[in-house]
Amino acid sequence: MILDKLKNIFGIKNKEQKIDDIVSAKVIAISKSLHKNKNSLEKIFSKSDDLIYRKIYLENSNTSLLLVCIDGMVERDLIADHILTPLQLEDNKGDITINLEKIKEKLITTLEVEISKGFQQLTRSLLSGNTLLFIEGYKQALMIGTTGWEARSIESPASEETIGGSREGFIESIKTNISLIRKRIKTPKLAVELLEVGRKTRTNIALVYLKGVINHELVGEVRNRIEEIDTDGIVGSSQIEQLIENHKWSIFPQIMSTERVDKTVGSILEGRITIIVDGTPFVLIAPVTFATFLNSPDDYYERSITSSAMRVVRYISYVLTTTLPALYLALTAYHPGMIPTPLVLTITESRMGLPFPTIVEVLIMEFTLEILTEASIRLPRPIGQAVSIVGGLVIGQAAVQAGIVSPLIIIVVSLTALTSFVIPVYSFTLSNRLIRFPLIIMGGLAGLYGIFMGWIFILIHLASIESFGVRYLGDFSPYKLEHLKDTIIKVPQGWMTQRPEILNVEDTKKQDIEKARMIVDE
Amino acid sequence: MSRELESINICSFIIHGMISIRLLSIPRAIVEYAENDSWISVLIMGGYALLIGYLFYWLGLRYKSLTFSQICEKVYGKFFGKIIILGIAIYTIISFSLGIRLFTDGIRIFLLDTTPIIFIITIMILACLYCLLKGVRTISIILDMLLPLILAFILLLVFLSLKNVKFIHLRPFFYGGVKPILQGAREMADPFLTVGIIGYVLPYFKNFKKMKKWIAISVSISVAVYTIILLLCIMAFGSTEIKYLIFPTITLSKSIMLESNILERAESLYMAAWIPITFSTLLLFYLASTLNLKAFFNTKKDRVIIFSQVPLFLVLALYPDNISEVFYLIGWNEDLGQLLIFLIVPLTAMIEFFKERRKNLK
Repeated sequence: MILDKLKNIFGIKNKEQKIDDIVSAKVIAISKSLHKNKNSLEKIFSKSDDLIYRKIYLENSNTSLLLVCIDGMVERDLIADHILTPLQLEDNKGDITINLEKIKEKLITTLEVEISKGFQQLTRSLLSGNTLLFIEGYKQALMIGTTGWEARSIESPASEETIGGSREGFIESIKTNISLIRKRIKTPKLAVELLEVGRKTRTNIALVYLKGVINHELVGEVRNRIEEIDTDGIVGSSQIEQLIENHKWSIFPQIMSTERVDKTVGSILEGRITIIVDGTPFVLIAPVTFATFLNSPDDYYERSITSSAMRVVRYISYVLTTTLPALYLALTAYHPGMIPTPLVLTITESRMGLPFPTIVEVLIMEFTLEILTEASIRLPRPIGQAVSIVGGLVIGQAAVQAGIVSPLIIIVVSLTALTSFVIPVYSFTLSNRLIRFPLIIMGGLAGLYGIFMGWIFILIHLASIESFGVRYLGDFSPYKLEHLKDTIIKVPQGWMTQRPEILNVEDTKKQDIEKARMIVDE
Repeated sequence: MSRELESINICSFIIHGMISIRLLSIPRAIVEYAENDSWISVLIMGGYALLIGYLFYWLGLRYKSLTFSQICEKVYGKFFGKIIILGIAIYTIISFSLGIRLFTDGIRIFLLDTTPIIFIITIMILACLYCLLKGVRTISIILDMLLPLILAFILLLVFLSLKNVKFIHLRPFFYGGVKPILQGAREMADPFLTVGIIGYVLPYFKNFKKMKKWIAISVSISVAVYTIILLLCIMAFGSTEIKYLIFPTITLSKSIMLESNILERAESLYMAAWIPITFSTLLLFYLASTLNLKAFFNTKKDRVIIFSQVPLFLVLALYPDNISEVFYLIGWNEDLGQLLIFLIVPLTAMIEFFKERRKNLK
């Protein structure tokens, strides 16, 4: 005791105290004694009451066993049917010997059984939902695959609804998510590389891509960046996204995050890499460009002409959602001469007696819109809808009647909000909402000149950023007809014979044009 | 220098270089000499610009990793080379400064009549500076993105103006013989000299496949734009009236009355369309000026050169008191441009050609 106190004063810790981490578990070796092994585990998992220790004594073979698992992470029926029952039945046969090899090879009937020699490996295995089996007299233990915890069933992706697409969305289980992809891409060339990130969370991460198609340098780059992550824990895929992306201070997402299985499969087939993170339904896709954020999975389920028209609508909506308030401000404050006279008169009439300049009106209403959008997301769905209606209709109407803002501002802001929902990817919508404000200020300071210059600054930024070696605006420069086939418009499926050139894929051919033509001829 | 550009990228460099803010005022300058035959002057100078473009390309192919300024140093030797580089530096810096000033005056006339000049100038310089700091690949993407928009705007202007044209204003052809046409062509030398951007960006290209074709197409598009705009101006106003217009091209859009009453004043919108056009041309002048100064000081410090030019641009752009003074200084700078396009570039190519021939004979 006195020695311990002295050690504490000088900051020296006891050996036992150091065993608080998986890495520290490396120092402990498996003992022949079950009691010692149990003690070691208790030290490693101190204050973990959910650990189950089950001692088994096989009378006929005079063998003592220790079964260890974590409650809630294992499938109890699997342990009972495939571990305990076979052992008991074998023992009941009479005077026989039971050793480690026999248990592993003959008695345990689960799919995955491995022998481990160290506590580090055992600890990791136990934390992954496996069951450990120690046998008296052996300096080894068995790690038996019994993982099974409660998981959400596969549902339609809530954040990315489509009309024509698949109803299957990713869930929180990495294994299920991989199987959802495997189910759709039935080729041995589908590579699944498993990595582990987070000193404490040990989060499983899977890199999924198509061998022979993907640019192998891209795989190496993504793998390296993930392996370089040194953090305590990973809670969601967005953390991985932020840790591996190129431009940390950009407001534009450089990696696509999706819940949709069809979108992910399409991206893999194009030659992109997907990153699946255990515990989150959002799968990451890289590299991406500006155009990919304006594509919707529905585009590929509809006819090319209608899809192209919808894409044009999306591009126009993009310009409107970012620029419309600034444009209104510039035209009314600086260039009223550009607006038809009857409209100018209407605007002037509606603004009579209002206390604030147009820029203040625009900023007040835009800020209110942001509050409403944010509030409706945080609230439960039925209340959220009510808040949007109350916010949109009642507050807007009240603000006009109270003489705070003009009715035209309400129309402009509503149109801005409506067009922002046309953008299919939420993270991209967020960045657009943000660039609206500097453009309003630029429009307020220098009219159309300010807006044009504001856009030039945004364009320069967009042109300079890249996602894993692919330029964000790479779809639009250099001019290539092939690039246009699946960007602003979408040509018929038979015409999309090549994979996107900007991805530098190893196999550029997506489909045989001759065969596609033959089908058409027939 | 990293070679990141594809041969087709040269198109936007050339077109953006050639279609500049000068398109707004150039009809007046040519009509002074060639009257209603001005469009022929543009075609003649266009042919010469194509030749100059090819000379820049030919020289660039001989020294693939060198800019035109560095080539001059190789061809003329260190002393004379530096003198030429200094001349180019004066031309590019003044072109940038006066270009931005001319544009600012246009903005003040048509868009922002009370906004201080320095504010308009500073924002434009900052945009060019930011883009230049991001590198040539970024510049190339920006130019590629803006080009279709710019051409669409010009096309719209052309289609809307067609209603106001009178063919009678084009007659009589060759009223004054060849001399006024050639004098008019000389006025075009300055805006077309920007084809020389080829000589500065070639070291950034990774392939030269079909480059000649792209140069020909881009020069042709630029010449076509100037010719059509000039024809429309002459046909809409007649050569006598153009002489009294500061920005005939903008006045051309002013004459457009939209029956549908969608836009009350089209000229403000067209002035706004010139913002990206001006930005891209100024950006290319800034790029050429930076690469030229790097050759002059024999340095690799891009950032120092880029930042050090900013106060110079600002002072020179603010120097003229009024738009008449801007045009006077532009005229002076045009003489320097004509010296470069008519003497220095062909002479450099000729010396290089004979050097090469002599080497082959040996």
